[in-house]
Amino acid sequence: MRVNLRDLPFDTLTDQLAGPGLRLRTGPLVVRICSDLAGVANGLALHYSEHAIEPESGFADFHVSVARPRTFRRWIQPQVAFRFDGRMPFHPLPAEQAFPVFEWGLNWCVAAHCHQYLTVHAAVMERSGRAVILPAPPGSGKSTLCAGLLSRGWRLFSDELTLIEPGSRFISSLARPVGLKNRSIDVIRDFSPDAVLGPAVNDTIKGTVAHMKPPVDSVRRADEPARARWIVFPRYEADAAATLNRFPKASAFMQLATNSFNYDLHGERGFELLAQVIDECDCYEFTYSQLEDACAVFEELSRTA
Amino acid sequence: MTQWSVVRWQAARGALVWREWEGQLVVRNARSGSTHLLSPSGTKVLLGLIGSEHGLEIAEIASQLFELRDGGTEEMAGLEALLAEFEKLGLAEPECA
Repeated sequence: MRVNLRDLPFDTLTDQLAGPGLRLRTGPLVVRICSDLAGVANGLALHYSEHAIEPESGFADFHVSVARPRTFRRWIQPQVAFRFDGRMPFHPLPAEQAFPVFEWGLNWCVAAHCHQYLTVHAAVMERSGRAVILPAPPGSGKSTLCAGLLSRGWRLFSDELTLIEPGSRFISSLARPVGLKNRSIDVIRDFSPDAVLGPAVNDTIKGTVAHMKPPVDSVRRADEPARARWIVFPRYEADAAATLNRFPKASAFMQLATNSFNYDLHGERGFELLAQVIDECDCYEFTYSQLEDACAVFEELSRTA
Repeated sequence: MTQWSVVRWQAARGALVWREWEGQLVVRNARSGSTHLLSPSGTKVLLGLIGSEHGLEIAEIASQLFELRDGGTEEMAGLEALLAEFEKLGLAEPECA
């Protein structure tokens, strides 16, 4: 029987996190999380309430912890460190960033280790069984667009990671919190009043960040994969009209390969896989400034054959 | 013209996988592990070399692929530079005499 995180009393959640660890399922992956930090427990309780919890004895793809390093900084400007298999892949960050540190660390775990997939740094949304891949550099408005589309009937796969299964070309859903930055936090608060946003954390390396809870439907249907139908390169540009233009497929291939974390590792199989994905997709570049207009364009796109 | 026609060029056939979309070629070289996006001219030349069993001389590339019967120095120099770039990337190689 499926047990969701919300089924755990908060005290049990904190005990598990501080003790043997919490095995949290996100899409096809299970992460075992250890942490005695309130910021992590609160963040998990808020953002992952609909995610399944796996038994203590079960398999976990990743074993991670978020904890205060044992240095003098425990008392002066305390920090938190993300650990993966006991190793610390990043420098510690200020303690108030505990939940974002967990999110960024988990992104890194997936990007650096899930080579059973061709992994691309791109958001993925789904509508009527067809997925749109949104590759874009930071600051292009990709996550804002994702968050907006979520309130217009699209299903979240990921705002950061596209996991393409070789062979089937199905994209797996992770359905994790959407990371919003700076102005986009207020944009989404206004655009999607029902969206659940966690606390804004200031002065991170990305500026002010806040995470948006993934919709219940996206989490519950995380085991329903989809094939890509569109590849759209979004770009926010102040005062620009929402404009969707065809993008050359050969250039789209190169952009996806460049934004892939492991295209080179897959060798010729990766080339063929990416080529098939490009074959099956219409490719566009998309410029926008108003989220409502952007959603209207995507609504139209979703009606195409 | 003689200076252009002494070498035959061949595609590094066994090492290449490629896909063409809208007249642009994306090619992966298994020897280097690198993937390249070719210009329309580069696409024409590499596909010409791939399709040619015994390779092509630069003058043949000019006449067969670009219909340049009496290619000017500038065009021929451009083709030579393109082939040199292909050689550097391991996409094509001059045939040893």
